[in-house]
Amino acid sequence: MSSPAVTTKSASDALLEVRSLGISAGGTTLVSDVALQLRRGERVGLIGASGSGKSLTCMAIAGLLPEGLRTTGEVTLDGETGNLLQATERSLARIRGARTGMVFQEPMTALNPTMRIGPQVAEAMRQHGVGKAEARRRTQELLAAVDLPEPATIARAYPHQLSGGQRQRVVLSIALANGPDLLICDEPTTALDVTVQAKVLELIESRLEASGAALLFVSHDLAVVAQVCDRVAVMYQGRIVEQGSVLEVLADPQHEHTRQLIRNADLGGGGR
Amino acid sequence: MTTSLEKAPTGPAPTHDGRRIGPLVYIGGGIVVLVAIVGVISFFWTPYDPGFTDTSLAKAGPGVGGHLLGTDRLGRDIASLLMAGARTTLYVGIVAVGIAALVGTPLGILAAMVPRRWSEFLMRGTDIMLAFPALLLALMFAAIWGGGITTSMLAIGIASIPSFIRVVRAGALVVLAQDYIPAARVAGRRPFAIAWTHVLPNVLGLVIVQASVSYAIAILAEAGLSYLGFGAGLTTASWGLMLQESQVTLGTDPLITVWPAAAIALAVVGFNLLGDGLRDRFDPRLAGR
Repeated sequence: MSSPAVTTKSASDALLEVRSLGISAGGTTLVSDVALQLRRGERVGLIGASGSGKSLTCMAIAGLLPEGLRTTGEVTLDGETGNLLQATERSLARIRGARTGMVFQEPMTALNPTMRIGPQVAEAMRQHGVGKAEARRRTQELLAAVDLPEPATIARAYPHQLSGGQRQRVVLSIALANGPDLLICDEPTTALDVTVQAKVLELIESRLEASGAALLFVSHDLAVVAQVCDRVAVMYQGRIVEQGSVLEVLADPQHEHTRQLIRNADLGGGGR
Repeated sequence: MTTSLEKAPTGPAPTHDGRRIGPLVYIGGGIVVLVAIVGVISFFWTPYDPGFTDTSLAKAGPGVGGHLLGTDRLGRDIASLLMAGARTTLYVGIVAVGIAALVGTPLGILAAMVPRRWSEFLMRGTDIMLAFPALLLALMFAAIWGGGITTSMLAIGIASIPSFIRVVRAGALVVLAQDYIPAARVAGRRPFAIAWTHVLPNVLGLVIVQASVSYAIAILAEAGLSYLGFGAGLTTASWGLMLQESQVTLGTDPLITVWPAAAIALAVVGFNLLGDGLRDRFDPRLAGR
């Protein structure tokens, strides 16, 4: 399952670098001292129970933290973009979309109900300087690439006409529209039922293989992370308590919380 | 139309389905359309010239001398006056609500999107405006610039801005909490583009509802101002003005008062019904009913 990443382990290969990230609200520390590194094409899972700070970490990386949260530390993309935590909305806008894509948890609310699918997919490309006709053509390709039947029909549909799985495919196609270096998935399959979940996961894997993008995959489900990721970081109470290759962590968990997660996970489909 | 690839959607059913437009909308809409048609027809045709006075036939009862609803104390045809008054009502309403919607909607979206200290500033300003009675504002305007239709439209419009800001901001906050907003931000969309393509279309339903309700209020306010003598000038046909003029004859010929009163009530009820009916359809708080 783990793909041999096309990488040499030089430092310049680092795509995403998170150093001593801390997030606090008022006097309460929500996330502290998070360090994370993603190389090009690498797939890293971030797991933990709800409230462990994994979603916040992921929001901080995407620059989507809600107002009123204070951040410390440093997030750099590709070593050259400066600290994203301090970046203005204006400079973030240039980096986002072109360099990163994001898939959200809830496919029901991830698409604008008043816009047809086609323009929503094209929007991301138009923003980054792709012409109208070109964007329309590539929209069809993207929709076909995420295994949506009859892309031309889908492009003309409104979100409420699609099923949850279909919508999540559309969201994925939007995230991948500009060929990003980093795909962030925040519990992308939690809201889907099991059969659809498996299909969407397969699709994420195959699209990553095709594009060579790195993946940051946030989930509370160890089984899902084990299927998709090379490396995994376990978060507990706002800290990363364990980090390593999926095989290592699963075979020899060091932290009590990791053991707990493994006990609760449904690995390999056997028992509970 | 969808080619069902997988199982049925897993989340709750989309709120747009299952919520139908009720009979209220049709009744309210029907009244509104009727008033509008009458107003438009009055441009081309009225049974009599609404300004034509015939003192020999003053205070005629309905049907007398070919006057469908009778005449007022100056012998003007009441039906013709009502038709021309509908025109004034619609005109004042459209401009006043237009001002309120065009100013209030962007400000409401702005209040939802800017950092909290700015939105606090905006919303407290809104509260202050809301605490200021519309009629008082209109009287103040009339005192400064003199009465008239333009002054009343402006005053009614400005007084209706705060309610638009509040309603739109509340709706925009709901929209902004949806995942497609951060999705657009991740895609690199700038705040203005997000407001225009994602927030505005999704609060438009609320704007329409608010416009309909505000319209009813504007009709009442215009009638009230005209009644007080600060609205339409004496040469303009206005329902409020008709009420005021009929005061003298209220004791002897109450019917002359009843007609404009009924017209005002009908139009207000029409817009209110339309607004309420549309609210059932659009208000997110009523979702899932």
